[in-house]
Amino acid sequence: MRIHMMTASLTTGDAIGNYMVSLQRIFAQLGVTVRLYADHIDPTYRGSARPTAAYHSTGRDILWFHYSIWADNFATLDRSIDFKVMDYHGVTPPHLMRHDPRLAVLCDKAIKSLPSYTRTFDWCVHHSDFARADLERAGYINFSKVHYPVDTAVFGYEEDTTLAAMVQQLEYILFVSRIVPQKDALNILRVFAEVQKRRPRTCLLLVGGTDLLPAYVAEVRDEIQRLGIANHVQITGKVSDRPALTALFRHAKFLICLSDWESFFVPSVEAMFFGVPVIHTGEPPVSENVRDAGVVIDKRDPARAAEQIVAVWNDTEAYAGLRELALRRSTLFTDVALTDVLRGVLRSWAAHFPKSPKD
Amino acid sequence: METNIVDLIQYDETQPDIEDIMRQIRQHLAQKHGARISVPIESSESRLFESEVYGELFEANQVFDKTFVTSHLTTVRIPFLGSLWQRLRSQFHSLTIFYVNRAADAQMKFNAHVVRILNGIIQGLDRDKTPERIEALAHRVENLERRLQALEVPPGALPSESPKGS
Repeated sequence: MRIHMMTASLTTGDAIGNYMVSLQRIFAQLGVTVRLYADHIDPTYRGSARPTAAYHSTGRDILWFHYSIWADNFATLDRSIDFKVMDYHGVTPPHLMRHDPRLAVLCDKAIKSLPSYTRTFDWCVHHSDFARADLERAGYINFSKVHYPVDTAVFGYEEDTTLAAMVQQLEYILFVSRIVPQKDALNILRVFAEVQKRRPRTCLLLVGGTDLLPAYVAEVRDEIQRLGIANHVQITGKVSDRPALTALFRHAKFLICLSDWESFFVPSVEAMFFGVPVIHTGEPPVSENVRDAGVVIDKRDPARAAEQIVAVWNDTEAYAGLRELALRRSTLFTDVALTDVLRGVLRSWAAHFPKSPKD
Repeated sequence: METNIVDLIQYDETQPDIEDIMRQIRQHLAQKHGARISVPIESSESRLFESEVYGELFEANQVFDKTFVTSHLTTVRIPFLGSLWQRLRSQFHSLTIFYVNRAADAQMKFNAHVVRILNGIIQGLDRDKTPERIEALAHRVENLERRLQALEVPPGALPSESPKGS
C-alpha cells in the first residue's frame, strides 16, 4: 500500500507543504511509502514531489487529498479508484480574498463543492473541532482529528546565531504569516502602537511574504507611518529558513494573531514549542490550539488590549506561568504525538474498511 | 544622588540602538533569504532617493523569482467522454505549463541579474561620496574667495603714492 498525497501547490514555508513533508517522514517510520503530488511544485520540492498528472490509481492505495482551494487536481478525484481521504484545512471565505478575484473564485468554488464530494471521500482528516463543524454541516460522517506537528526533526535545535545575537537585544512581539487582509495586520499595528506607548522599547517583527497582495502591504506601510512606529516595526519578508525562524521564535516575548479567519494557524503551535505565549482574539481555531497559554484581547479596543498585554508582560510570575503552559501544551503537537494519532487513524481505516485499503 | 545620576547615564549608554538593530535584521534576512545579495536599505545617509525607491527595491527583491505558473483547468461534467476529454486537456495543460515554466525559469535568471544590478547601482550611489566632496570643495572655494577678497584691496582704497622725484 502507498499513500499518494496531493495538494494544489507545494511551496516552501507553506503550512500544508510543511505538514505533507512531516506526514511523509512519519509514515516512512511506520513503514508506509508516501508520494507527494501537486499542480504547482516549488523548485525546492522538484526532487521530492511529482506533478499531479503522474498519479495513477490502483485500487490498492490511498489518495490523501488536501482540501483548501479549488484546483485542477479535483479532476483526479473523479477518476481515482483508490481509498480517498480528504485532509480538510478549511477554505478561506471569498470576501477575505477580495484583493485577488481569481483566488476568491477558487475559494468560493471549493466551499460550494464541499457537499458534492461526500460520496467521493471515504474518510476525512481535520485539525480542529472548528473545521470538523464545516464537514459535518456538509454531510461528512467519518472523521479523524490529526494535529499539525511542529517539525521537530528540523525545527528548534539549530538557530541562526547572527540573527539570534541581533534579536536578543530587542523585546519584541512576533507575527509570522503572509501579509494579507485576512491576517488583519492593520489591527496588529494599532494594538502594537498602544503597547509601544506603554513600553517604548518594544518592537514588532512582521515575518511573512509580502508579494501576494502588494496593495495591502502598501496600506500596512502607510499605517506604520501614520501611527509613527516606523522605527519599531520591521517587515522582514518571507523567511522559510528554519534556523532563522528558530531564532525569531525563541527570543520573542509574544506571538500575535488577530486574523479574521484561520484554518489552523501553525505559528501558534510553533510559538508554544518555544514557550512563547500567543496574543489572540479568542476565536477558533487559534483559541482551540492555545487554550490558556495566551492572552485573549479585543482587537477593536487597542488601548484596552495593550493594557492587558503589558499587565502580563510586567508581571514576571504571570508571564512565566504562560510560558510554562505554552511548553506543556506544545507536547500535543510533536512528531511523537502525531505518530500515535496516525497509527490510530490507520487502525480506524482497517476496522472500518476491512478489505480496503490493503497491500 | 550624584552616583545615581552617573549610574543612569551609564545605563543609557548600554541601551541598544533599536533602529540600528532593526536595520541589521532586515539586511541580514534580505541577504540570507532574499536576493542572495545585500538589498540597499534606506539609512540616514541615503539622500539621493525617496523612501519609496527603497520600498520598491525591497519588493522587487522579494518577487523576482516568483514567475512560475500553475494550470487552471475547469471541470468537465460530461459522462464518459467528459473524463477522456478532461484527461487529454490535463495532459495538454501539463505540457504547456512545462514549457511556460522553462521560460519562466529563464526569465527568473534574467530578473535576478537585473535586480542585482539595481541593488548594486543604488548601493554604489549610496556609498558614493561625490555630493559630499562637491559640497566640501564649494565650501573651500568660498573660503578661498573670501580670503582673496580680503587680500585684494580695491585700487581706490590704496594710499596714493607720490611719484618719485616729484
